[in-house]
Amino acid sequence: MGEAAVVIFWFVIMFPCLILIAVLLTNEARPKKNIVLGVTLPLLAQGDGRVRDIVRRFKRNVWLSTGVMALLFAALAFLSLGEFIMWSIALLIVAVFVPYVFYVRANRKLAALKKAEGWRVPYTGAVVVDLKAAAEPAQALKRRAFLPPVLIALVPLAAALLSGDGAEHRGGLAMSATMVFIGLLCMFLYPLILRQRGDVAGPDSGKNAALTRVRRYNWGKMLLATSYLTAIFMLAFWLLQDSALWTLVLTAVYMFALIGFCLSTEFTVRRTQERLTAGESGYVDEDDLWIWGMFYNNPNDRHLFINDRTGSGMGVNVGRTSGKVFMALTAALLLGLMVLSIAVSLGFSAPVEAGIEGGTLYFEHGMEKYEIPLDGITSLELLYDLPSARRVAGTGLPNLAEGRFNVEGYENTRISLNPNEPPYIAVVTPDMSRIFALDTPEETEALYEKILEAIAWTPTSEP
Amino acid sequence: MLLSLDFSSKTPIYLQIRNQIILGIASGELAAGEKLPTIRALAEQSGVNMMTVSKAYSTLRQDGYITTDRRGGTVVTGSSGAGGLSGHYLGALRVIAAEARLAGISEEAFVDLCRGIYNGGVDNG
Repeated sequence: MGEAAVVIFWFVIMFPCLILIAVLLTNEARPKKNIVLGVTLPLLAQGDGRVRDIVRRFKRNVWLSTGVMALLFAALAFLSLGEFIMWSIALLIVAVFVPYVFYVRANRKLAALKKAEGWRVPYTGAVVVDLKAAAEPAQALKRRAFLPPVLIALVPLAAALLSGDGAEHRGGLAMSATMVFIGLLCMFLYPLILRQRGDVAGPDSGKNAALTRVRRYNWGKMLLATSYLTAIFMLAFWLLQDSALWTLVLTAVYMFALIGFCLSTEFTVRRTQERLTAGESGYVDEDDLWIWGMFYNNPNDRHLFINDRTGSGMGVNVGRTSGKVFMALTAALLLGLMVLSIAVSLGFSAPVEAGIEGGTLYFEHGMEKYEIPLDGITSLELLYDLPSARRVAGTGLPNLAEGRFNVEGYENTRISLNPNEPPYIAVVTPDMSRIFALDTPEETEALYEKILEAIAWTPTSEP
Repeated sequence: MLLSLDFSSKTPIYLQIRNQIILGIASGELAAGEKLPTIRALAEQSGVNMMTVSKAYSTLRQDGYITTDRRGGTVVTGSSGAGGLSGHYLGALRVIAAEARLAGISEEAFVDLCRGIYNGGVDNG
């Protein structure tokens, strides 16, 4: 598969992601349970000209930033493939955060306006529970409904372990284990929603109970669909793993199906909240418990996970120590991913450092760094055709193969080369094999000659 | 009926739950025979400890406002069944009356206020 196909694949994934973030965020401007951009407003205030102005500017800024991000993203296409992928991951993380800056700004402005105007609703600053709705028994899915997908995702793992070729398919096994983990995660996340506070939008218990039911039903539906889609994807990926094209297509289909389903349930919940609470004056105001309208901060609430006020999502109670730790770890993970992406990108684009020094052959590029004593080399070849190779762990881009690979005719092999630019130097020692190339074919051939001279024996094969 | 819990209030949470349920029964928002959430459900819905809800419910049960049985769950009985003002109410009323006198509120105004509350001004707003 060519580099252009990979770039197009990334564009197909990334552009919809940018648009989706903007759509999800601007949708927060539509009143749901009388909450506009994280601020509870009485009905009259929702029509106020200043409120509308803040909302209008927020929407404009979000779409403007999305456009800028899309242009920046398109500009990345001029980079080499490795750099393109890594920088686009870093840019995507930035693109997720930037619209939230506008959200926080709009939220602060609305909160300040609300305070200045004294817009208050009957229940302000308190945790409100609807007793009648809370007394309604929850219609829960059985946990065993989540078991079949977990068992399906286990098939590749079990097959590899039973056939005894687990070591050869370490990458695939890790993937299978991840998918089993996702299935189990869905199973254990489901009961969380049943333990959450119910929705309270007003004095009508019937309506409150309906809002709670819709949220729970869609949450269960989303988790069940996630675990089944994941299991089917894992099975199909395992059956078609030898075809790079099919695995790419499968991954794209899986991601689109998953995102599509999650979005459809999210918008179903949002629409229901909007419809059921339209035209009703604001009733319950928990704004004081939400930082920037986004982070729940109530040290008196023993819940760690908490329902988002609108939509079907969940957040973390940062008022608890465990919540703070959870948020700090998440932030560190995202930041780490971004830094790692950039570092790996720089590593990809760095020139190869290789040569002979003091009776030792040294090689350094990206994560690959090793030294081979010349007197330990048992075989040296200059390859113009790369033998059949399958990635075990590492990078497998059209223009860069780097890491641990299963290579036909070689054992315990690490490679670092551009598959489109032969020749390659294959060095074999008693305990390992290394196949690599320098930045240009001329440099590779020159180094090969230099090694030959240094060890002064006839190579096993000639081109 | 909406239960509003103010965590910054000096009134303990179990007392807030108890008082609001009594107010709900008195205002007719909670009818006799109506089912209340289980202790676990109310604790999960409000985010408070199960012990807190349990304490509120046992106080209400002792005062006769609710009954609990294994099959039917916790149900509103509708009245305390006390039949008259107990020492608890008289003590509380004495303190409130003394506070009103110290605040300079006339006897007539105080009685009018009590009458107004008794005849329907018992909402929790």
